[in-house]
Amino acid sequence: MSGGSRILGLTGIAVALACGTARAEPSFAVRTGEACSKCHSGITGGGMRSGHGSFWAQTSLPHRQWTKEEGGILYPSFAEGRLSVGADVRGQYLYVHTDGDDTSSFEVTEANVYGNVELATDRLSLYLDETVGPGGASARELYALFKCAKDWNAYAKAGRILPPFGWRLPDDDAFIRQYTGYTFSAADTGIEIGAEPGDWSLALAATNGSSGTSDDDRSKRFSLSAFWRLPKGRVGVSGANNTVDGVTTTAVGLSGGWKIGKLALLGEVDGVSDERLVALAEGNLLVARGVLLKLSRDWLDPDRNVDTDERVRDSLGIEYIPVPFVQLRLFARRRDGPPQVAGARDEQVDLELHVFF
Amino acid sequence: MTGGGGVQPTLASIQANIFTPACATCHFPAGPGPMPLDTEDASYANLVGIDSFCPPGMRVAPGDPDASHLVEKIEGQAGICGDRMPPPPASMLTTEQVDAIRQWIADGAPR
Repeated sequence: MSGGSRILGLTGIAVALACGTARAEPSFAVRTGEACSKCHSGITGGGMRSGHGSFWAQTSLPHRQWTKEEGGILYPSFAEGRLSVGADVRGQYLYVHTDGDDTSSFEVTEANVYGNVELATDRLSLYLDETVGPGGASARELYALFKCAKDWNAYAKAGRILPPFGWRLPDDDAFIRQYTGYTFSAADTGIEIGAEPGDWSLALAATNGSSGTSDDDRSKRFSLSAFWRLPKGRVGVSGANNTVDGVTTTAVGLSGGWKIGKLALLGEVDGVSDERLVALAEGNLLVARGVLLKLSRDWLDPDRNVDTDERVRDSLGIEYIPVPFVQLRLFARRRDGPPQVAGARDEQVDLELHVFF
Repeated sequence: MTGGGGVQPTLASIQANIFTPACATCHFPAGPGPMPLDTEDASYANLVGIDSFCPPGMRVAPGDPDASHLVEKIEGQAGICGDRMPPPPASMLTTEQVDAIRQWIADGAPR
């Protein structure tokens, strides 16, 4: 790896700050008790929805469904076929209040299209997750997926992938994603193997550690996650190791989720190289059909040897899915941290429109 | 015709005696099963005259139980997509319960 890409390879922070935004929703997995692979064709979560995932999202999530007469009922186009497509498009109005200035803007925060071809049903597929905006187009993920569905759903991916680590949250700005470097913006090139024996979901990836660029050394980044599904929740461990120019960065994490009635709880604590600690606690309440209330706190200690550098981010929001394919999200966030750190302290309100299938 | 165990071939009775206790434990909004079946309105809207996700056909084809994927699923017929319903290890519906659903569909699956 070149020295110029060292920072990216070490932590992915710079990439994370670019604020990539494609999403998964682990609270749904906790709420339903299903493995991520049940609803996502990429097995480890995020990106294109599987046939079941699309079907579930169109029938079980919305406040109401469109009738046939209203032009509704799409369902996935690939229930019987081998070619499938999907998309996620998000736009938002963001208002930011700081001590010095207030700003607001309309933004397209995500435009991703997905394509999957089952070259041999349940055995071999080619998957593309293409970012078409904002900014230029680029392949976020592009890989061949080999599966042995009958043998613990064992699989192998080869290509440009999103390596596994912790909860794949629908928020790249969450500290546990930003400061471990495992965001939706941090795809990398390599291989991943995994399996789902019983109630376990296991994944191990070896990638360049260069955030998607080609590598110029023999060191590789290793990432793993292991989740155990329980009747009311799940627990998981994650680990990562990357050596760049003789400097080794390690990360370890504990993740968990629990369901209490209509409340789904998520939590994660990660440590990075004996210095940095990040954590998340999130509550996700199903208020009514199609209406979810979210409350979360992110916590970051960039350096455990320094007492005055801690940062927090509190979020309160509501998500409303009135009809299939449409989600409205209204969130208020407050970030607090050392005043000398740029961007550490502000208050935000964002209203987002998400169209997906 | 009257289904066994007090189940009548009406949506109200099927909802109270079958869908709610046996299906809506998973098929509820944001629950693990797609297609909520937790209320009469939801069950009717999600079943009657609605194209099946897999295989082709209707979930409930009014007047034709043999062409209804719901019947194929609860009878565990060969060729269905996924598990029979309710899925193992839960017990299959009783013959009387299946007959009540069949009769309701044969009657046109009225609301």
